[in-house]
Amino acid sequence: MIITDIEVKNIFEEFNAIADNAQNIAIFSRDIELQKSEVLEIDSYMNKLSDLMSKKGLTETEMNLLLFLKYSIDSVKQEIQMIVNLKLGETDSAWTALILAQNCISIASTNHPFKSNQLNNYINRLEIYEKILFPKIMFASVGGIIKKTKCSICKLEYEDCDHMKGKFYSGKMCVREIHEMELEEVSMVENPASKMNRQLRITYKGKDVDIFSLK
Amino acid sequence: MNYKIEKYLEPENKLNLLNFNSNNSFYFIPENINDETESAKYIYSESTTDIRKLLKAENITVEYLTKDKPLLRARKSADWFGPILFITYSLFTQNSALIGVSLNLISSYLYDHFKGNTESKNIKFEIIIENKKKKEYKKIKYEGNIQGIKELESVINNIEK
Repeated sequence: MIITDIEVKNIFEEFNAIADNAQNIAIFSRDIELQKSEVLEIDSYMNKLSDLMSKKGLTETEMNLLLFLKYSIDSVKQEIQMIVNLKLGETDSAWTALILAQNCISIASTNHPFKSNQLNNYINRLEIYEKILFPKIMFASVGGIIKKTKCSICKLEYEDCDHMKGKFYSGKMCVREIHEMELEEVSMVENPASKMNRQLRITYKGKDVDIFSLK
Repeated sequence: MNYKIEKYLEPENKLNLLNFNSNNSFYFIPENINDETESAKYIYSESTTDIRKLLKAENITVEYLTKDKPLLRARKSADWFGPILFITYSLFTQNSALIGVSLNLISSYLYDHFKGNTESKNIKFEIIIENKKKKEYKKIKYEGNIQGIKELESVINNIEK
């Protein structure tokens, strides 16, 4: 991978320091105030990445590298946010942060500039969080017939272009936008396409309670 | 690798009705080919689009059975439902290497697709194989992991013998 832009080189080098420190803070026993300020620090680094991405003259490789860094560091930010939310007793938000962290690292991993598996340990770590910090829950999932789609990159019908959903193109991720779909089924499943659509309530000791806190 | 091979009796009449003339490329067969009379209502698995793009990028042509705009079925499960691939006899006899290459590409694509997801993913798809010598069609129903896909090449070779 060839990086010629000096600002991209610098922000890439800065990434390692930011990520190392963030991972050191993303431990449950660390002080919550340190964790809150780490989230803000990562936000500021992500803003720098966004600003640099709007700079003209960057190559496709450089743009995609910046987007990769953004998704990677966002994942660690969400991990810390999850811990903060858990400490504050905000379990719904903690779950959302964990799933966002998993989604971000999954996207980063698919678009890893060196096609490396070095994110696997981190991916496993987030998976373990899900298993030990939260109960087993069910998810709502839909199925249907997709009739009209658009590619977020070129705005053509997704069927008619060559972009692949989930892949990076000049610093943007391709999304297949579904514009028309005929619903066939909605059901509760254990293994859904998205873990955001989840069961919220459960009956516990005869009462209708929050599925995470049982309150 | 879990797969089942069964005789596939239905397509010949359907293909004749559609004036289907196979050349030596792959085709996608709609999921509802046996139930649907109007080709404009043919439904394919939603993964079909990405597999077509993936193979096209490597100059491997895969065509939908008809020229209609395909309808795509999205399923509720996180399992991967692949397209129904149709391997014509002419493709097998004239360019059989393409079959192995394509299966490898699909396998690599899926490996990439599921990166970041540690839960084991079930892969489900079907391959229909035309054997003009024996005047029959066979269907391979595959359900298993990503690694098993590559091994399907030898299964296909055995069927075409």
